[in-house]
Amino acid sequence: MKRLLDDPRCAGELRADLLRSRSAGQDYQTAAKLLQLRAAFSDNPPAARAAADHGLNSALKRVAHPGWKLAVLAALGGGAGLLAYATQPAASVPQLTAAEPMPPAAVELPPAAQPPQPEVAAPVPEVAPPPAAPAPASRRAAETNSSRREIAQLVRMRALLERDPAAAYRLAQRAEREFPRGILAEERQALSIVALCRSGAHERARQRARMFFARYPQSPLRETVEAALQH
Amino acid sequence: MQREMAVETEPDAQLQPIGVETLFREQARFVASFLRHMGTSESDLDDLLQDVFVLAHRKGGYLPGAASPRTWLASLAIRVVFARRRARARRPPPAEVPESLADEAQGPADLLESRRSLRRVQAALEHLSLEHRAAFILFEIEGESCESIAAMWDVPVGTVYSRLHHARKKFLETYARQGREP
Repeated sequence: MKRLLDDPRCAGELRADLLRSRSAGQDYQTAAKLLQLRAAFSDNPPAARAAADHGLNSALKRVAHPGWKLAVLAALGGGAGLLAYATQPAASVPQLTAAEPMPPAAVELPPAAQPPQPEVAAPVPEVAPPPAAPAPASRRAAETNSSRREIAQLVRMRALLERDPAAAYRLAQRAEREFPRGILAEERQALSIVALCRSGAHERARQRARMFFARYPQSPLRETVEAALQH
Repeated sequence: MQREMAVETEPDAQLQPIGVETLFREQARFVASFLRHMGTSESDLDDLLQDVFVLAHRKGGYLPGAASPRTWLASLAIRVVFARRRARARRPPPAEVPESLADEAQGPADLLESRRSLRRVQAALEHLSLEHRAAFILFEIEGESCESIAAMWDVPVGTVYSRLHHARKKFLETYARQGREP
């Protein structure tokens, strides 16, 4: 089916109007709004299965920023090779340093960062409300455990990387299955590529790197991945 | 020399879900544009856009399939817009054209023209049903394929052709009438 703009009879003002309409979202301040969205996520857990298996503690979610994540890894003994990641600009998300302890379970964003409350209580009635969840405290505990397991797994992977990269890669694959929506997916995928490179699986590494760059075009781990590919 | 390691069979990464933050970074402007064309006022835009991505989050992100990330997000946006309209139980006023809409590099004359263009298109879109309006926006303005739009609604592609046919006819009639009115 041909579009109006592909039809030579569509000319003049109509053509100009349709073309200009394509830029109707260009002024949206994506970066600034992302912070509000993160706060909203913490109050809206993913669907039941994902929440039970892979959910995040709401407080962890609020500070789930690459800089924080690497700081946690550092605190847990993670490798120094990726610590440059922690130096990335942290926007205005609360960021902990490596010297600081794990965040408590109820870190609150400043009031200014809270999302505006919608006028209607349930704007999306077609979607089933979140399933009957366990008591909030136990749910939070389960989610925190999940996040900590994911972090611990990445630390183990990092430790294996030097002496047994193939085992590190296998561990990453298991973690991918266990935490398909985990907070450390980006770091895990980067380390997987490094592991593949060190195992001699260069073609496979390049293939995964292409997907990684497509998925995370702005990743602060890009240089790490590129450096691994060159060795 | 290291031997090529045995790599476990794994699901293709391209079939893995795309996280909502990635979607937001890449598609928030598309969703903002879509919501505006669907008649969302500037005062509601932030709330509705956030609702769309919270809904995407609750669904666990985008799973690659026949619908593109854009049409999948559009399907969520349609639900959100529909729910908002139903909650208010009245037709919303025509969307305002935001002050900062046009490219900052544009001069005042270009800026004025951009706003006029958007007003004319919005006014014509107002006369379409939600389904026809969504189909028209996605196909004619955002350049999505009929196949992707069909996947979004889970309907045969012929149904999309039909909706587009009716939407285009109504849009052009209304647009032409605007031009004749003082």
